[in-house]
Formats: sequence, C-alpha cells, structure tokens
Amino acid sequence: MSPGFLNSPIIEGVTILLLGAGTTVILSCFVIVLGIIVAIPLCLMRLSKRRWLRSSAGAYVSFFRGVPLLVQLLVIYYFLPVLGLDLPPFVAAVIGLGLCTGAYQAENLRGGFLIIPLGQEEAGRAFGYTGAQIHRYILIPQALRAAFPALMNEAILILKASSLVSVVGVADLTRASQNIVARDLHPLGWYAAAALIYLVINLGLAMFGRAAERRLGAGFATVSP
Amino acid sequence: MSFDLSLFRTYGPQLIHGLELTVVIWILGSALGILLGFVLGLALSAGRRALTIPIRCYIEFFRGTPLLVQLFIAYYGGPAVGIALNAFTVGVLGLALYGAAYFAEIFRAGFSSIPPGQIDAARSFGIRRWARVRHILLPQILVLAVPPITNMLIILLKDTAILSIVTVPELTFEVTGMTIETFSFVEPFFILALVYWGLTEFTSYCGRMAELRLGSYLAH
Amino acid sequence: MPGAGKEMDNFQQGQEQRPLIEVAGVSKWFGPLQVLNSVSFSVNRSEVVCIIGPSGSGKSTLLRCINFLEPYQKGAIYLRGERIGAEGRQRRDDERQIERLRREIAMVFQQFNLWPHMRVIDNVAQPLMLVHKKPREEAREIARRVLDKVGLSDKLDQYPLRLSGGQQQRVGIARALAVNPAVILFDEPTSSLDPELVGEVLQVMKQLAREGMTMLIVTHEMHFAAEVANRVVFLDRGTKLDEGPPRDVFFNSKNERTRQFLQTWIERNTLLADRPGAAAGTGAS
Repeated sequence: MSPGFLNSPIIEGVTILLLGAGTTVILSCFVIVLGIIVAIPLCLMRLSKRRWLRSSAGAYVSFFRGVPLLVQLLVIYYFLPVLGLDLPPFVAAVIGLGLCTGAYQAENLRGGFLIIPLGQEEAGRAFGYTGAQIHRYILIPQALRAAFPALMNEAILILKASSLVSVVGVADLTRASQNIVARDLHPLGWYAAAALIYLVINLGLAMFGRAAERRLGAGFATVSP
Repeated sequence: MSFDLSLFRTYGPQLIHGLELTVVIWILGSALGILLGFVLGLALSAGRRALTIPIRCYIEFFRGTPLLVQLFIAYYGGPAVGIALNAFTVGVLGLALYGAAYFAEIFRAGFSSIPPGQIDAARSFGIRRWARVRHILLPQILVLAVPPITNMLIILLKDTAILSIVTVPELTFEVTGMTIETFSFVEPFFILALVYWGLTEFTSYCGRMAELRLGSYLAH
Repeated sequence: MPGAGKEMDNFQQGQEQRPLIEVAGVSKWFGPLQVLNSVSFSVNRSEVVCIIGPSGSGKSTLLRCINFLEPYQKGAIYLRGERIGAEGRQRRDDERQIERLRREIAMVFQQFNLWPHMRVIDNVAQPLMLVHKKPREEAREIARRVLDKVGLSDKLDQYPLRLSGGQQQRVGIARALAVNPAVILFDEPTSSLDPELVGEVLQVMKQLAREGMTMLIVTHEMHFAAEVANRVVFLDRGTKLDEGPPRDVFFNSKNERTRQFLQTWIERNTLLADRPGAAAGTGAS
C-alpha cells in the first residue's frame, strides 16, 4: 500500500460523509426528544374537554402537517433572529424539525390514547387516583406502548427529513456529499454513497424498531378491548 | 422588517408561474406514481418471488433514502451515465418514482385485504384475471385506498417544495428568488407557508368527500 | 327408507348416461403432507351426492379440485368425459379450457363469498355478463327470476352486508343457479350460519334436488344427507372409506371408521329412522 492511500480523496470523502452522517444522527436524536416534549402536552390539549385547547392544538397540528418542511425551516431560520435569538443553524434546524415532528407525534400519541378502553380510566377513578395519577400511571404508559410502532416510523421519517437542514447550512450527510462533489466532482458516486448510508441507517432503525416492538410487546394489538 | 405588499404585484407573474408549475408537477408526478404504484402493488400481492424481490428492493430504496438525495442523483449524477434530463423532467419523474414506492405499499395492502373467498367465487365462475381486477378488486380497493392515497398526495404536494433545490422553477423557488432580491425573508416565506396550508387543507377536504361518496355500500 | 324413492328413479336414468363428473384417483399433497389419497367416485346427472367426514379430512379440498380452484398432483377429474385441466401446476393454455368448463360448474361457498360492493341483483348478474357474455338487461332479468325462486325478490337492490347469513347464502345459491350449470358444488353451505338460519337454506337446496339439479355437497348436516342424497361418500384423512346410498352408509356400513364417526348421529336418529314416513326423500320436508 502506497503511503498516499490513506490520504486518497476517496478515503477523505468517505470520512467527511461519515462525519456528516454522525451529525445527521445526532441532530435526529435531538429532534426526536424535542418532538416528544412538544407532543405530550399537545396531545393532551387535543384530547382536552375544553374547546379552545382542542382547537388551538388542532390548528397547530394542521399547520405543521400542511406546510412543507422546507418552508417551515426557512421561516424559522429567518424568524429566530427577528426574535433576537442568534442561534447557530444546527439549533435552528432542531427547533424547526422538532416543532414539526411534535405535531405528528401528537397525532400518533392521540391514536394511542384513543385505543385505550374506557374501563382503564374508570378503574383508576374507582381506586381514588387523581387525574394526574391516572394519566401518569395508567394512560400515558399505555398510550406510548400502543403508539410505539408509529413513533418508530416517525423516527425514520425524521432521519430522512433531516436532509433538508443542508439548505440552512447544517453540515449533515447531504451537505457533506454536496461539499465533496463541489470539490471533487463524481456526483453520481458520492450522492449514491450518501443515499446508501441513509439506507443503512434506516434499515438499522427499522430492525431495531421491530425487535423493540417484540420485546416490549408494543403496538395496538396489545391493548385488548 | 421592510415588507411591502406591492412586492407581490411586481413579482406576481413569476409567482403565479411558480404556482402553476407546482400544481402541474404535482398532478403529473402523482398520476404517474399512482399508475406505477398500482402495477407494482398488484404484482406484489400476487406473490411470485421473481417479482416480489426486485419490487421490494425498489420500495426499500425509494422509501429509505431522502427525496432530496434521490433528486441529486438524478439531476447531477444522471449525466455521468448519459441521462441528462432537464429540471422539470427530473421533478416529475423524481416525484413519480418516489411516490410509486409508497403507492405500491398502499395498493398491496388494499389487494391483500380483500378476502380471498371473493376471488375464489370469481374464479369458480370462470371470471378471468383482468375481469377480476376490474370488477371485484378495483372497486373495493378504491374505497379502502382513498385515505392513504389522499395522505400521500398531500405529502407529494409538500415535497414539490424540495424540487426548488434542484432548480425547478416552482413556487418555493420563485419565492426564494424573490427574498434574495428583496432582502425580505420572513413575511414572504410565511405567506408561502399559508399558501401551501390552504392547498393541503383543500386536498384533505376533497379526499374526505371522495371517501364518503365511494363508501356508501359499507354502511351497515 | 331414507332416499329410497328418489334413488329408484335415478337408477334408470343413470344407467343410460355416463357420469357427469368423474373423479379418478386424485391425490394431493401440501408439501410433505398428503391431503387426498387416490380418491375416486362419480356423480351422475340429477344425482345428489353428499361428501361427509371429520374436519380436516380433505372434503373441501376435494371439492375445490373439481373446479380446479386447487391443483392436484395425481389423478384426473372429468366433466362429461372431458378432462378438467392437467396434472400438477396450472398452465396457461389449460386456463382457457378450465374457464370454459367452469361455466358449467357453479359453486356455493361456506363464507358465501358475495361481492360486497355490488347490490344483490348485480352479484347474481355479474357472472352472466362477464363470463356468459349476456347483455346487461337479459342478465338482470335472469337474476330477478332466480332471486324470486329462492325467495329474495324483495332484496334485489340491497347490498349483501345488510342481509342475514341465510339470505346471503340464498343469494349465493341464486348466483350459482343463474348461470344454468350442469352441476352445483356446495362447500359446507350451512356451516357458517346461525342454527335458526340453516333451515331456509336447506329448504332451497331440497327444492333444487327435487327439480333434478345435479348437486355435489360437502356437509355436516347428516339429516339433510340422509334425506336428500342419492349417494353418500365418506372421506377420512384424505381417503375415501365408504360410499353408497344413505341407508347403507348411515345404518349398514361395513366400515368400522364410518360407523364410529356416525355413531352419535345414528344413536340419536335411529328412532327417527324407524318411524314410517320419517325422513323420507322426495315430498317430505
């Protein structure tokens, strides 16, 4: 092996890609967490008995599901400085994606809640649980379990959607591949390589999701009528 | 924050063209995607392994990778293998191939949900394959498939915005161009968001109407 | 004696014609498991043949082999002397021939298998239009007549899911009748029905038998078989163990397994069988 091999452009490119992939994965993790944080109260609002809570949450969900993610990112990216928040692109991207995925997660969770038989809540009340306790010990755990497959699915979608953050200047996998191509050409090879990496990550996530589902006994089927 | 509604008058024509292109690409891409997805879904539900494996690979690829990267491969990578398509074509085909992977799964689930007994009955009378698809499978699939198809159509509509990154002159592209020239960013993009919101809500509404109309025989 | 009167009529008829359906040495495997073992019997014109046996004995599979809904590995099945399909897997050219023969063989299913997105009258008219190429109005007219015959003329424009099980099955029978088949195959037609709905379906089937329709019926309804069948075939684990007129198979069987299978039923019904005029064939109901 000639000493120049390790410095070859291919190895360099692959390294850049892998670094970008790392950024993508880390970004996605932050997004998922932010998404759940947004989703739980949003979901509870959607299920609330108070109309104005339901409607505002409904409008939120409708907006974030009805507008292209790219446009959402652009709005938030340019709007944050107006609020006086001078945040790095990474953070802006996490916020943008997080708010969006929160809307979807809220709907998934809502589906999970809706499938819980009414009797569960009644049993809690019969034993003297407070409202908060009913939610914390009975409803939320079951809703999470029932909604788990949908949430895993959302994780995969987040990973793919993260490719758009390249537009607002985050050094993710897509941006990494663009940078390599700008310098070294061979677009077909490098973009295909990026696609491959996305594919591998997603397949891994899917397998993990299925295995987790089996072990946790998750999914709607486990909440019996 | 210097925003002037008169900006819209100046850029009006461009923006209208962008909107037109968005809708055209959306409809063309979706139609092609549905057609291809239908064929693939039908083939998948038939179950022959020689067909199932390549189709599964196709679906895994187009669902496992971001649309943006797929577009890059097609638009920037295409010329390397002698396929040099213009942005519009890449837009339509990109949307179609991507959508087909999802539509295939929707149609497959639909075909599989029809109790095999109904097909047995059709076969037992001597009704041939294409007649079975046309008279027995298709009418029932349509009802089942309308909600997921509507969902997917909305997703594809939103994804047309991504085409702007590969220089397709649709609505987002034009608005982005406008913001770059006018240095006014937030308001135009926000209004852009509202426009998409309106379009997707309208599509949702149409989907619900279609569901109601087609599903009358299910009422117990 | 059960079935005696009808059998005498058909004896003379049967002598003069070759069998309508002939099953010759049919064997079928699902992978390593053998589900049919060299089954042979025949069905003559205007005969009612009932196939009985324990669950899993291959009765339904055998029926489905006749109209080639299922392929089989060995043996042959003939309709009026013409072989239906070929051995082993279905091939393209055979498919045409099978479809042609399917025009003369109609089937009634345990799960009814009506097409839920079409009204009752369209369910019945559909095969006529698609396969027998009848124009729409003619097909609907035939459908109307047939549905009237099974007592459902007030349900023509309903959707199947709104009907009771017994009504749905009668639509299924109407659909089979409409194509004017040479023989109707019945695959456990009443097994999915609530007990109180079984009667109306059996009634229609008895009527058809009286009118001379050739019927091959897989059933658990022993009463019905004893009353209406010209011949009964007993299948156990894919093998035909017994065959003959009902009085022979039900009450005089030389086969140990047959007697064992029918024991409970016989015990419960011997009293009935000995009463004069009870469970007689034609005319009684």
